Amino acid sequence: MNMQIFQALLDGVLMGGVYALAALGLSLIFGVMKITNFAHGAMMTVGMYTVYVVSTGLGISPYISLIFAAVTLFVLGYVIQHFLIDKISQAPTHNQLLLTLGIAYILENGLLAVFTPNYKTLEVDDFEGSIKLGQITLSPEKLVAFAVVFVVTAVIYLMLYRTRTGKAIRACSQNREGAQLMGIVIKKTNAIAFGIGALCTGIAGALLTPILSIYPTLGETFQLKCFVIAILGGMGNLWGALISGLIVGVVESVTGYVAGGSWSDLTVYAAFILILLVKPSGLFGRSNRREH
Amino acid sequence: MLQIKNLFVGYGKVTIIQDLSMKIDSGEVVALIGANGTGKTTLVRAISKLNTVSGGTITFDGENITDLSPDKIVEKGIIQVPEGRKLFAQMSVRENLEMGAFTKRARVNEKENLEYVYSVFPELKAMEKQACGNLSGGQQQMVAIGRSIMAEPKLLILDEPSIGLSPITTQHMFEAIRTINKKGISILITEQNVQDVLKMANRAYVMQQGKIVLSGKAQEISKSEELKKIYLGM
Repeated sequence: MNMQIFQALLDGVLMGGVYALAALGLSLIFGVMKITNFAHGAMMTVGMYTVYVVSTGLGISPYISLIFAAVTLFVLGYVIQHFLIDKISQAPTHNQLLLTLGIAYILENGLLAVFTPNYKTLEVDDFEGSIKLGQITLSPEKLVAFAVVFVVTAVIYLMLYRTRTGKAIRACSQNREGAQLMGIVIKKTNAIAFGIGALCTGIAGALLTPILSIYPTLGETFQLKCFVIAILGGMGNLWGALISGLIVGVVESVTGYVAGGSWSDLTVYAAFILILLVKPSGLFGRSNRREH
Repeated sequence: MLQIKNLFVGYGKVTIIQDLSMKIDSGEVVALIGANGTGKTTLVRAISKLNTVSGGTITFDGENITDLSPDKIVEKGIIQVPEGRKLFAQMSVRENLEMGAFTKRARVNEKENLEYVYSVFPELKAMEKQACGNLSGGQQQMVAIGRSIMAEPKLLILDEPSIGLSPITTQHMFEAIRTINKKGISILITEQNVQDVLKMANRAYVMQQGKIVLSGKAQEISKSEELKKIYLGM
């Protein structure tokens, strides 16, 4: 195989991992609350700025600041669900969508007010140069990002499948009333689930900070991308989100190499529409049957 | 044990349960019968607080529980096996049973209760790892009842447990319910399978259009002419 295509493929997998983590959060939130979080991209940006501020302020590595971003976003997600979204959980779906959209604008404009619209770039001195394997060049930032995604995903998986709280989250997503009848407190479980979803996107943002220049509305790009990935994976299907994230990353990267960067998004969204035409519930989606 | 006084329950402006009073004593099996759409499910959902009570009181062991949240009701020991079972379809049989022991009260004896469930329904042990969504209706009903036993009920509410089950499975289910009752757990059961449930119950209430129209000992009710009238419109 042409080495440069292989290079594009690898880059795509590494970036796709980060997309996958953010989309996993979106899919989890949808799976449990049946709500599409339009503030997901903005939350990711909050994660980016948290890393930026903590790293530059305390002079520590962005990979340690990542922990601050994770905690901040978990708390932010928990609070948003507990005090805002929960209050209108009985409202029509479009009202809930508008609420998360409103939260997105508040977060974005808050960042604009505090940090100005100027690009900010974090100087990272954790690594020197890049890693070369024959003709393949790998950015250490992307490699670390992929490794962190792997670990975080494994921890979330273990949490959902091995702990009582995690099982309660899954129970709520599968049958809310059944969960209530077993004494599970829906309000608290929802808030934890939203917190974890926000944490995913926050960590994804934190991992992108050493790679990209950041600005307050950067999250919007990723909002749409997460949405596409989560839908491809079948909303609420966590494995689907992970695999779709990798697919989108690879398609984007390889198209960029073959046809030029401006074709990347076009190809991703065209492929998205085509797949939905053939399989409306997404690549890994279950049918639309919903239990009440 | 459970005392319901002058209860009103409705959805929006429509009142379904009107001025209903009933009681369940400790250790009893009480049947709640009535045709489809008379409000049986609405009533038991109100006891579990899945429906909002608009008037009247519910007391349990002398304590007013009318305004408690669903999780607090479970914590008190009122556990419901709902109509349609409401299992966690993509979780395994074992996980479903574990979720039954979610409350702090039920966690203490989780191990013993699991063994007890497997002794009542030995079939479940063999399919521990299977996803509940793949089981037959009868097996799912066993999981639903097992899950509620894991929650350590003092009062177990069963809403139409025989719905969609074959006659043999239904008999098996009733047998299990009797076994559970012998453990000292009070039971409130709604059924359309009237004659079978009346054989098992101590007392019965007959509901019609959101009201109790007949109540008494199960044996007497099963022979009463009024029941025939209500049911067959004769």
